Amino acid sequence: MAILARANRRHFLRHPLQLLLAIVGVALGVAMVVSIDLAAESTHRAFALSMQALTGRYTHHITGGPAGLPESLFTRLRVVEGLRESAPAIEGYATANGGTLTLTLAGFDPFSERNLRSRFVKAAKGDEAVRLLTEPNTAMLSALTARRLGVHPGDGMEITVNGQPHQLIVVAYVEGNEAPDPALEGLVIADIATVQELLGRVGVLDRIDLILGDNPEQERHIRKLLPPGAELESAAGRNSATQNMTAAFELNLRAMSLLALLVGTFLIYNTMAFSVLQRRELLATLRILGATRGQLLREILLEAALLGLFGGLLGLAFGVLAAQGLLQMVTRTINDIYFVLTVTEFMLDPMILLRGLALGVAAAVIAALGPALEAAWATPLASRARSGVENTARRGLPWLAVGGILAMAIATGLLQADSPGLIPAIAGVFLLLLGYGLLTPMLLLGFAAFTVGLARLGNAWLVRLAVRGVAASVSRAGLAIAALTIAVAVSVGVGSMIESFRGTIAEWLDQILQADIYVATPSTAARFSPPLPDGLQQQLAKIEGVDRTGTGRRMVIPTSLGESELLALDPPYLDKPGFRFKHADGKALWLGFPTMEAVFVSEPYAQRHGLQVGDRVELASDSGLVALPVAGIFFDYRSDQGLIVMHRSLYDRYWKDGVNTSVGLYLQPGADGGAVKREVERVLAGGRQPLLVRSNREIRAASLETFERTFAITQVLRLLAVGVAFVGILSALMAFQYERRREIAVLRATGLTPMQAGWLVLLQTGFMGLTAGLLSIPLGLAVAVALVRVINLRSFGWTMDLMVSLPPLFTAVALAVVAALLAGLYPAYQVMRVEPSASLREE
Amino acid sequence: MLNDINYELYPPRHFKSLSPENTAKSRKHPAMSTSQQTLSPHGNLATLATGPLLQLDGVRCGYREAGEWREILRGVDLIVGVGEQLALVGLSGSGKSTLLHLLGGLDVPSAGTIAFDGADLAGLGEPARSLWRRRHVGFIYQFFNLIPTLSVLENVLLPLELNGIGERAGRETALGLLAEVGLADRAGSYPDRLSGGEQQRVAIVRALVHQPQLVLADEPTGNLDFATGEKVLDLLDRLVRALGRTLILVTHSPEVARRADRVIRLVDGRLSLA
Repeated sequence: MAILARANRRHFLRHPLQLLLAIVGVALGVAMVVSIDLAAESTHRAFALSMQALTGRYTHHITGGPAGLPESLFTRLRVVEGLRESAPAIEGYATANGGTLTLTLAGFDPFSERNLRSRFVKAAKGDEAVRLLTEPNTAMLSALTARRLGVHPGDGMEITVNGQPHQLIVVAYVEGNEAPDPALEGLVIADIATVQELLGRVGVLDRIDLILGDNPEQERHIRKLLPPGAELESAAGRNSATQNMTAAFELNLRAMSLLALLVGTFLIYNTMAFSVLQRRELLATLRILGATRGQLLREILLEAALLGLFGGLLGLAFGVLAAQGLLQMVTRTINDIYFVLTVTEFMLDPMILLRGLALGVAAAVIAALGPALEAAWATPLASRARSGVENTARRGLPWLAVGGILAMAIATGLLQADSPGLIPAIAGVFLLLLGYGLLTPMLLLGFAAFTVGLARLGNAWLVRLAVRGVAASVSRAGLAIAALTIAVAVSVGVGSMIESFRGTIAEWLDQILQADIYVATPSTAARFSPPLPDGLQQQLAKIEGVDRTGTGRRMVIPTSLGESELLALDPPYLDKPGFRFKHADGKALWLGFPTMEAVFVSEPYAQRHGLQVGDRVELASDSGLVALPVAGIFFDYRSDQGLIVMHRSLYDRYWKDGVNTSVGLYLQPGADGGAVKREVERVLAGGRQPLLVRSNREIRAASLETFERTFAITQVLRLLAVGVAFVGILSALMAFQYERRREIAVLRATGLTPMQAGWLVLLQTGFMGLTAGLLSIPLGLAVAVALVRVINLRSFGWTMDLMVSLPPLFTAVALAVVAALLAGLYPAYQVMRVEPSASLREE
Repeated sequence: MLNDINYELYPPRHFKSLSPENTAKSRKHPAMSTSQQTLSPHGNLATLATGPLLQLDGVRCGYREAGEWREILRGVDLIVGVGEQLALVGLSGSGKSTLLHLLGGLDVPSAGTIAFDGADLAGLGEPARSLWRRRHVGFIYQFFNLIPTLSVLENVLLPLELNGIGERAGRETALGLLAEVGLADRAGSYPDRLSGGEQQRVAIVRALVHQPQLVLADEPTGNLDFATGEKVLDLLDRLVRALGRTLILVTHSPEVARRADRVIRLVDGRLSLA
């Protein structure tokens, strides 16, 4: 069917801009989905590889409490118990290159690593492994990281551990003589004793990794040998628990990419619909000549598939580029709030690329299906008359509206349901958007009638003409307005959510940062807090201007609910609660804090583990398992993993380490904060360990900065969604104006000046933008409520106060009007150039 | 330019090359066979009995507008023989175009039957009607309706391609016919480069190239000046007669109508002999 195909294909050669819009539409949609998928997948793989690099093939491990495991346990297991398949592990973080590069510091025993941890095998094989044991301050470095730092075997390198500089000699690459392995990126390995020394934990191990057969008797026996606080766990459980931490974060990212695809599909639908619309007469002639419906349908769908393919390929290129930028953001977010990720290698998964391409082609074909069916199924005569299509569309509007109301009702049900599931909630938000979109054409007609009435009062005939034109083309205009409404509403919703979140965090920071100055060790990871030197609290309490001091001890301990973060607090004042409690009298709870035999848990922790006040949590302490009831649930936003809080006096009863990780200084009224801070810095300057001294204002600012960074990716995606919608509006408006060109020609012939014709178009597009802007406000607020009250609560366990201010709402309306006017500029220019005679002769 | 056409060529030799004996492909495609074969009610090939080509019995047609039924044709009876040339006249809005569309299978009557070679068109169903139309009908419009994205030659080749005659096999026929209407040198041009008269000549060639039984023309000279119109009609007349095809032509012009074998008039949705 070469000539039939040519008749259709050449249409695009005659309208290159349209071809470009169609391809760009698909490309943008595919690029967004692919870039997010690639970034998420890279992080995921990076995480898995980091875990594998450090753990490898062991089946079980023994973990200690905050104090770690004594080295002697390992010797006993290996020598006395004959567990040859075992290896000691100690890990920590270091920085290099002036703090810009984070490294994982892993202790390594070449004799234990024969085939236990596969990633260390290469390193264990070479002669250099022996040098690690025999020469002090020697290490092996990942080849990729070495290249990044410009370090070669034999060179020295400076690293910083807990703020302290150290010099290491790189004796070899971790890979040995083999090819650089991206999974090992950021890894520094050294002898166990060297790492213990660097981390200041001599004689202590983090873990002992083991390969055990499937033998419950043996497991029981090993458990009996363990000191209090130590646990024997299966390796699979630990890895997946850590991986689950980011699941909600990734799901949210994917929901965003799905939204992008939705907007992208709309864009493709619009361009395909427009291209079919422009060919209405051509297609009718082909039908008259005897081309069958099936032939035309196949032609158009094939064309859509080809456009999808080209656009998809272009989208893959964009997507891969964008993904590398996104990966940086995602990695930073994960480092900020979850765990340290030293592998940052970008992974190009062919499956994701293939899936993106398939998505582009499928979206293009599905989007084209409607217009193709419309074109092929119309009788050759009816397809030449526009009013027929419009009449059919108008008859369908009430049904669309009914469907929309139904969809919104289901959405409300899903969002209000008691189930904790995130996927139904996300489906609810999508249904809400879809339902409102379906209702939009009806609302448009109502608003148009109202505006025409206003225009009649003001005798603004051009406005009346413009608005009537929009209402008469409800099938096209309705779709464009629905798309813009949804895009702007999502923007309003996400914007309000971020605003609410920021407001809530700011209030929360004010509540928890009660001390004026905080002293802590600099830590690379949020969950890793090294101890402060002994006697520091007493030393600082003596400084003039300091009224009282409080302490905090923060660490990760094994519990009956998996590894959890524990914070032991000793607040000096009890008149002002350190937390805001959920459904409880905070003051009374706080007054009982020092004497209570119970813990507080944060809201995300309670949400994650289904805990209520009164439930018990079992904690692995230095004195064995201790079961404590939950006395209260407090609002907390430091991590979505949540934390357990107990009073320091209770902690000291079960844990024997006696160290602090932070000290808070409360100043006397009228004391000079700056002077006290300088004095603190002077006192600390003599110490061996550099410490971080920050005022509560500085911590507040830094926390808010982390917050902004976390939401940077959301903001980028939000902008992209509006961008894609804008291209969609442009193509919809071009279709809309194309259909009106004859009408404009008649108006021009009747005496409308070119300028007035241009104004007519801008009035129409401006009206469409205004409608979308106004309609987007209620939807945007509904989306904000759903995001704040449901999605965030279910994803991260955070209750937030909904805060909505007026300026962003005005901005949203302005954005819609400006976007529509911009999109109307080109059609207006075209209309001004219309020669009435040529357009009228066409029929 | 039209005077250059070699009228001695009729019946055009180029049609012979497409007879079943010469084109292996055409055996599968009844459209290219001789006029002795036509479509049976079941879409199979049947030998044509010497009956009328078209028979209309009590044909009614109308549409719903603003909730009200508007009847355009109120019982049309008509018999058209093979090779006949018929002019259809009537006032604007009398239903001439509607009738023409019914005859071309673009629409179906709300009551009554239209039989082509004894087969009821409405009974064929839409897909079969499309296939029937591409084989047996050629359309000529007032506004030419050439495909703007195809060259003149491609426009002419399209009906052949739809009937399964490839570009190479149909090229000679198409070029020969274009030469006969004096447009051989414009074969590569796009329609918008042609004058109205030239476009209509291309449309005539396109309507005849696949040798349809029935040629339907809707005011073919309505958009042309008198002299050009006359030349186009001469051409149409000669080509159709030479090939022994049936022509039904809608016109407002008495001069044009006078050329036909028979003139029928639509009045109030019914036919009367003019």
